[in-house]
Amino acid sequence: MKVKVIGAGGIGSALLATLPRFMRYRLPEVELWIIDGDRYEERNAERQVFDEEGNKAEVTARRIARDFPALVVRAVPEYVTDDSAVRLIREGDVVLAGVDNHKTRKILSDRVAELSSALVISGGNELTTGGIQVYWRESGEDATLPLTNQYHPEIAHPKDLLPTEHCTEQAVVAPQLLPMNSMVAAVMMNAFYAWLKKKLDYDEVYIDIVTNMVRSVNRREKTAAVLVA
Amino acid sequence: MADPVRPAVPQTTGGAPQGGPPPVGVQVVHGANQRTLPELVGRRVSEARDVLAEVMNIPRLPIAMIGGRNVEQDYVLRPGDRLEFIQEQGVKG
Repeated sequence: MKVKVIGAGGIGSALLATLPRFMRYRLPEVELWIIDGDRYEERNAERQVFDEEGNKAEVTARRIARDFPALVVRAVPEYVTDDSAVRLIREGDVVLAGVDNHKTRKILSDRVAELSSALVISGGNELTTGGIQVYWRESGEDATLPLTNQYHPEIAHPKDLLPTEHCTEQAVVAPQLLPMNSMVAAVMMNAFYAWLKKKLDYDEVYIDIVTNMVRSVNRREKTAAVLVA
Repeated sequence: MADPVRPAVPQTTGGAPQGGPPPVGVQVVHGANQRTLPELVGRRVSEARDVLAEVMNIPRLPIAMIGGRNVEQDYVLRPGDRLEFIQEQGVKG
């Protein structure tokens, strides 16, 4: 097993503030990859954890290597595309995704669907609401629904672009909040822990930081009940 | 996707508890939040959406489901129905 964090922005950098410590003491033999083609800039400082400007994967990997020298950490300074997904996501991987577009989420889901056993936990948010989706395959079968399931046509048929398909100036910068990114990262960690303990029994989790509500949903169970009826 | 439930079709997959007191309201769910409102019984799905759009942050024309089945916007809500407006996954990260 390798743990591969895709996206080291708002959600990803919050995740990478705690995940390496968890792995160092709970999963010391597991390799951590950080995959991101973007750069940290001063304008990211309000929400993102970094100590120098530069490629997000490389900057974060250097910091983790300093803090946890016993942990094997690898930086991959590139975006995930249809082509690179085949190379970057392999059998048995755990993918923790904090990306900023649905097209990449679809690529991740489609790639995991090609594998016999793999897990992707994908987080995303708007200003004060957000959530995670879990797509887990085990021994050639879906244990949860793909990210592209019928409840999420916005991911099955994404209308946005990959970071490689537009220049930075064209990217729409939607406002985000640090507590929202942090909450999504925490819920992703919870899901990873539940999976490690073989107690993961939901497909997605919804979060609202204003009402402080969190709700997990097992869509697969409901879908199966409807099919039987 | 499951066939939409239409108003004329008896609804048998709602959230009515078995053996307990009869349900008195409609439970509406969107994202992490949920509310139970007796005054929504007899109202259409589209009306429930309009009533709760602002307070529950429900977008226009969301996917609406009861008991795991899609329902049309003109489905008339019954006591014990658990109506979920599916929240889209957040885009940003």
